[in-house]
Amino acid sequence: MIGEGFAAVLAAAKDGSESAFSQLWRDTNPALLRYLRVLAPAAAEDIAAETWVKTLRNLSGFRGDEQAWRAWVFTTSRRLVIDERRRTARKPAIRLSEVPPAALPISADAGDEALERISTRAAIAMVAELPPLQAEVILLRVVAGLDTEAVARLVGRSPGAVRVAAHRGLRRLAQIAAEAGVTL
Amino acid sequence: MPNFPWLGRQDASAIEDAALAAMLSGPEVPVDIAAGLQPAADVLAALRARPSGDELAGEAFAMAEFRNRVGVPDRVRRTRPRRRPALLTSLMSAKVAVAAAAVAITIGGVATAAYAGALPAPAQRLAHDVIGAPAEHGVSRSSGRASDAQRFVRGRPSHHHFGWHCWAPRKSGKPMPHPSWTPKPHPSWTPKPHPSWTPSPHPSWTPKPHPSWTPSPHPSCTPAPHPSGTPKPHPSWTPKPHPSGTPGKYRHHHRRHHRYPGHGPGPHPTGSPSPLPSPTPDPQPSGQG
Repeated sequence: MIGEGFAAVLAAAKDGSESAFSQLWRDTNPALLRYLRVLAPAAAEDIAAETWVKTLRNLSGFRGDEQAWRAWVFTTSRRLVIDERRRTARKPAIRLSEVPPAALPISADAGDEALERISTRAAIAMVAELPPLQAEVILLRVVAGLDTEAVARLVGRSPGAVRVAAHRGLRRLAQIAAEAGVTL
Repeated sequence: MPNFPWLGRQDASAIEDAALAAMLSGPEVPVDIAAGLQPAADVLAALRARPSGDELAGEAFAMAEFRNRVGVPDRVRRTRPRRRPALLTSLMSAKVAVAAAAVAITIGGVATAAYAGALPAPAQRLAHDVIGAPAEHGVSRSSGRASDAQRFVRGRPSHHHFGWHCWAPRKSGKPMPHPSWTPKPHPSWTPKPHPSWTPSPHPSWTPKPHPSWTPSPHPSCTPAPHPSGTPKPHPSWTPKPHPSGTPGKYRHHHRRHHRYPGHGPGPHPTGSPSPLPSPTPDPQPSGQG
């Protein structure tokens, strides 16, 4: 989070300052990618890029603080995720047995897997095991830094439902991490 | 003191909810966090970790997009001055278009008025010379009437597209229009040219005068030239209306000769084809001014 200097950074970015926009992007994009890697793992990078295109298109018209900024960016991204899911649902599914061996992904070696376990990707993978609403609420609260009311508006639920989903998700996440037997 | 185990579970649940809320709100993990929630706290800490290299890999693309859409203030500044000339040009072109339309309407109106013979005598004369409009309809204006009469007296009958316009002199030799004559055009006359009329001469027309045509006016008109050949009015003539007020002869005469032979239904007085009127200057009798 940028904090108190957010308004100045946003104004400079609107005026065309590349360094200001870079600061905004570096602050927002990692959280955005972590969010997208749970909601749409296969198209996270593409959706993130598309989110920035849409954001830049309407940047001059944005008004608000840092909380509103993040809510706006993540709302844009969430709509793109929904579009991507609709697009994916229209595509015919291919069975794994029908995929040629050359096209199958090659598994990473043990060293990489060990390193990944202690990385953020492992945490994201654990969050991805949660029910969708719980995972999304936890990511929006923790990664995006939004409060309960903002998350409720974003996902279209009441603040009480968001709070309950977050707590249940954290308890479930504790169980998943305990079962994995690893310390992140 | 009784021991209520459910009260203890309720307290534990309340503490757990507070711990969960604290875990979600910030990176600081509460001290009194339940042991069972520690793995979840570790996961959240990993989610809040500093960005890795792959998460910042798309910065070049984002910056390029930023330059294309927002980060080009110089281009924005450049486009503003360009808009003003464009606006100015459009305004100027609009003014030019309005002026052109006004000129076209004015010219069209003047031309229509000229063909209708509604212009003042000098303007009508100019229109006659320039665009071939009917000559000033001398009988339709009091001033024109006088000038035609004067021309007649000078031995130069007024001539326009409808043929020789004769002002028949009375027995006294004074060509005067009847007082009851009204200055409206001949009923058969319309502002537009006769359908059979074309700006080009009649095919049978030759530049030389008709054999039956003589430099003198029509015989019925008897506009005898002045003996001296000079185009001054007859001394005895004065351009005042006739006092007797018998317009029949004049009106009939005027109507008969107003129609040009070959245009109207009536035959040519001489029974032979005669030259059609043309916008070009007609041959004038020599010695008649």
